[in-house]
Amino acid sequence: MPTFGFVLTLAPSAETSTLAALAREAGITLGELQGRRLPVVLELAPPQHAEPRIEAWLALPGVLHVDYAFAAFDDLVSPESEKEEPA
Amino acid sequence: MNVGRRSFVKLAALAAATAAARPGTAHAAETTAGPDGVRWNKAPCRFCGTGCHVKVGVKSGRVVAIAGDPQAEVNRGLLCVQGYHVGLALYGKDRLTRPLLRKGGALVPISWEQAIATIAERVERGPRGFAMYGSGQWTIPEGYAAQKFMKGGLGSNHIDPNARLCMSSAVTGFLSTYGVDEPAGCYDDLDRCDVLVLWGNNPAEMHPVLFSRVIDRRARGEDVLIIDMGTRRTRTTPHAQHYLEMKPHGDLAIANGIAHLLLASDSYDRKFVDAHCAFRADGDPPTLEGRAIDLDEYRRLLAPYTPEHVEKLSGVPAAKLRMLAELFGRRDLRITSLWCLGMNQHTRGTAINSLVHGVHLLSGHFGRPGDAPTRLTGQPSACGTAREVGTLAHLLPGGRVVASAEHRRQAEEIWKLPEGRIRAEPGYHTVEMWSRFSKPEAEGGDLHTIWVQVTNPGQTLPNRNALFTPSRERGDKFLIVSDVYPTETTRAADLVLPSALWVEKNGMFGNSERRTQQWFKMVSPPGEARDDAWQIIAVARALHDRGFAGMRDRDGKFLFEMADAAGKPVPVWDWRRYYDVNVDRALFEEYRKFTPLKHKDLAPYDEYVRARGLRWPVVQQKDGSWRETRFRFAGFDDPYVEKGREFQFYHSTSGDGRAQIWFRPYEPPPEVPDDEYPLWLCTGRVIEHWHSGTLTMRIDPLRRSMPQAYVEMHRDDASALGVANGERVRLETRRGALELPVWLDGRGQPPRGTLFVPFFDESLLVNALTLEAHDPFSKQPDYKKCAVRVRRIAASPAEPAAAAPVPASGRER
Repeated sequence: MPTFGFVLTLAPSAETSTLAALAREAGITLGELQGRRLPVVLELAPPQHAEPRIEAWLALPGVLHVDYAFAAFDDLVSPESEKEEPA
Repeated sequence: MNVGRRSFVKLAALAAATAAARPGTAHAAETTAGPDGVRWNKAPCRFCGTGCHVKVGVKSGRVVAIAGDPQAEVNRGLLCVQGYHVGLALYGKDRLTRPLLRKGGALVPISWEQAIATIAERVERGPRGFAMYGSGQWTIPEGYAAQKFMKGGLGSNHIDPNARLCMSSAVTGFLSTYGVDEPAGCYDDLDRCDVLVLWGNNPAEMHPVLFSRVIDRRARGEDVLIIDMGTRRTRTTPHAQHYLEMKPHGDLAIANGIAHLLLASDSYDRKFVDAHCAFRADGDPPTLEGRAIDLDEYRRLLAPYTPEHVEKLSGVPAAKLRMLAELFGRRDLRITSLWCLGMNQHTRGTAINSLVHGVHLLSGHFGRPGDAPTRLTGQPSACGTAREVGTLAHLLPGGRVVASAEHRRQAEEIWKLPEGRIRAEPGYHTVEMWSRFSKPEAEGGDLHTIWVQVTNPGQTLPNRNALFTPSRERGDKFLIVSDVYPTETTRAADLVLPSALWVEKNGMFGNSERRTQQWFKMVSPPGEARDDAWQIIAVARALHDRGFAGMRDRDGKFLFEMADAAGKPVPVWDWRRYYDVNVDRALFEEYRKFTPLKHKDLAPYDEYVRARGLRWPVVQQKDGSWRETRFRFAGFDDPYVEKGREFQFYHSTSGDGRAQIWFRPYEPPPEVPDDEYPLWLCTGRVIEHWHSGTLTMRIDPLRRSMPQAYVEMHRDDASALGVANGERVRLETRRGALELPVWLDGRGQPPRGTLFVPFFDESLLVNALTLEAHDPFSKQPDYKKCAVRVRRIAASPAEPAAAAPVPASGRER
């Protein structure tokens, strides 16, 4: 299962409602707020991708920016998942 | 994945995110091998020139995880969308795994021995007709090997990198201003500036980790004024307090207009200018050094650039120009300018680079943390390899030039070459190289072979129908390409060599802030793919063994002779023995001898093994430690500034320790819209894809986020044309045509009369349309402006006209 770590930069104005909205989402774990930065872990079952979730976070009032911090994708790079082909 | 393993990974993700949110916190990825069997090591990211460090997690010989490196000053544990997917770049399904030779029109597998012999035969056909074309993706040792092979071994200067296409105007801007290449400041400036001026720059999308420093400062309550100057609104624009929309080439008028107002209002920094600056203007004929002028002549030359005249030339309202000049006139603010391809891909690229440096010097916004003219780069080692190693056609390592007899002598001494081996004439720059490769010999086409490594000119050369396609239709031109995946270039090649990628080999990069970085090989390349440096050394050895005199030094030794710790020679040209010694270390330690001349001193290789990069000049201290330099030319930090001096430009072209403030006039673009081609066309990049998309289009989440190119168009232009969002249109320039879907009100918003097309998509080659006109000094082409017309194409039943071309995704707001 691909697992991702993100850092969301939050605006001061919408912190409580933003945290509440994020906490309701499935598959995510919120870390402890560090100043205005919120650590977030997202676990997804393939073939889901993180991008739509990131778009949704950015659409939340109070989310200024999303940075990336961690990605584990060993399920996606297992040897049997690829084959070698000449040009 | 069992529950225990999943919990561990989740904890590691949370620890990494927390560490990145609060720099200085340790996290689980610090261990060399965790209980889950994942072994972690450090590497710089493979993509842009920011130089973020990542922690690479390896298990069972595969890269399985990536984390931002909290120990890295550059990114402090953060990554962008490309960076956190970088591990997947290794595992596309169509990696090149065997050498391929074109026979009877098809590429067929051959052995490495055959491939190396084929290249040696092409050299023997005439070494002066053999060229190399590389990039800022060459690692430092790879670029150094290529440089030595060509200029020292073949006695040919026909080697150039694609960095010619992305940052050579920055080089000439630095040289003409300070007498030496590369920036004075560093990323620390972003943490200290009060005002951030973006000159045709879109860091929210192109350098997001750096831009996030500024966003984070704002979130913490700091005031940072962002001024976005550009020819279209980008994802950076919503963050800016002021958006100054300018006409193409308007930047030249704006920079001159600011200087005019600083003088007219007497708000320039007289003390700084009197102590540290001189003035220059173009001579006749124009040269990079120009002619000395005085302040009075500078003032006279600037006199026409009144706010009203600048408004006419640039489209930026006079009041906005006055606002800019007033900001630069304030001593209580710290101002950083950022730019990248908007200013460099410009037929007046040298001029606008030197003018922006001049605005900072004239206003004294230079040298204090936060006061900096700063250009960014797009490739991971455009600075470390293309510029510092000197793989540009006119350079030798360490800031030397082939045109200098003294510099050639120094290089011949370090390389132990017979006197006169290195030629004095600069080789062909990129446009000239591919132009000559496209022509028959009788018409000046004196290049018979080009060996391409780590780049994709079939997609990225401007006006590809003139510079790339013709040679592919001729029988006497031979194209060799080393790459990791099939590309537009490999598909047209005569010989294809499979290369190792990123952590499949040892490497070193040099980023945009003079930071040299190192990593070790962590996994094996697939199939028969091999290191680019090995490929060069193997060809050199084949030539040596065939009696080619250039591959021997003046003592008769092989140019790339290497030995183990006991001094026993190691045949590194034999792939089975290549990693018996650290070839990177050997090449780097030799290259390091070149670096003190221009005060670009590098530390020993092992210092970089320990560090997350060091910014040159790196100078040894009395206690034996090595100290990096954050702010060049500033007495408080640069060890080469004489004691007691506040600033010293110790490579000044005027020889008196002064930087040059240039006057260079506004000139219109080389091609402007007319009745036949009434619109502007601008090309560029997107956040999901790195350059020609060779790597990122193999990363499923990135490809799905941005699957194909498009044309951004203003809604009024679309209405006038009668096209809706998603409909296909045909773009035509004097050089080519291309059909694309329209994206209205997308992430970039061009003004009326302007179109924008990204260049990442190999199925939609926008460089069939672009212009090869280039700057007279830097030889860098202008991909940002040419004249185009657009026609509506009736939607076919299979292509619903209203389908959106791409999701309106966004990483920042």
